Amino acid sequence: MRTALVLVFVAACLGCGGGATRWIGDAGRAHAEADALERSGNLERAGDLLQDLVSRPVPAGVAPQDARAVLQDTYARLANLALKRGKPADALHFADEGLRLGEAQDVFASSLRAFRGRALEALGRDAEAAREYEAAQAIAEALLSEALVDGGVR
Amino acid sequence: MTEEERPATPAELREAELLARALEEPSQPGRELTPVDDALGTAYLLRASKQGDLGELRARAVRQRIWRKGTWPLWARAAAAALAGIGAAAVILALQPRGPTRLPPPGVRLLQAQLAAARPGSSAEIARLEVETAAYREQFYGALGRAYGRRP
Repeated sequence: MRTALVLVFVAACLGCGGGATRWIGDAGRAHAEADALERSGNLERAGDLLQDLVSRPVPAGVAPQDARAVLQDTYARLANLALKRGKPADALHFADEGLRLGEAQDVFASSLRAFRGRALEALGRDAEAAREYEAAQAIAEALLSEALVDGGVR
Repeated sequence: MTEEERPATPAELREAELLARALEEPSQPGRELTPVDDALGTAYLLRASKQGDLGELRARAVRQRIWRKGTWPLWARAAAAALAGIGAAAVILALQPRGPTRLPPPGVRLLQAQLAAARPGSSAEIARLEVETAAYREQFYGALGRAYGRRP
């Protein structure tokens, strides 16, 4: 009885860590599949695949910052796919969803701001679009300064 | 004449004799249960219940029922202990809040592409951003894979 309880406990704990590993692996594979689908022109299927990824619950074992990075990168890509399909309202929605997860001075926030600006521009909301572009540029410029100080072209 | 000096009554003598016999021959089989045995047993039970004790034999039986001693071979007990240790370690690791993964810093080309895409323009800037983002994504998922372990 005691052994069974210990085994169940161990399995549950390993399951926690396995969930995080699986989620990260699934996210990487979803992007790789979306790459192939985009190349073949199947933008809708690529979008569905990525939407499935962001709709899944994030396992508890994933660090919040890592989860945010994965999801914001995916939302930015979804926004771009929606723009390519001529759906700026969807693109705006995806960019907003991504930014709702939090904002840091990183490439993910910069991309989301840039795609939000593109969506707003496509919707004729130019003033708002300009503000989004400015925000995206401010982040990218700060990161670029850091990158140039740290070591040149990569 | 005090109470102690008073000669015993025939009933008291008989009771004393029965008590002596009961103490001398406690386990004689087939012996008739006497009022003295009965009284001794009752007194023992009362004392035990008052103290909330279990008899030594009964306590051992209860312990053996709960914790079957010696039913597992040594290797099984060692394996159980090892599993418990692994379980404890897994619990500690699982409950420990994980720190963020050290992600690769974005390259200059990606940041330049982001700057170019963050302004009104043609889709050429977006196409360049896509290429640079895809390259960064590969590094980014590589770092996450190393941090979280890979699974086929």
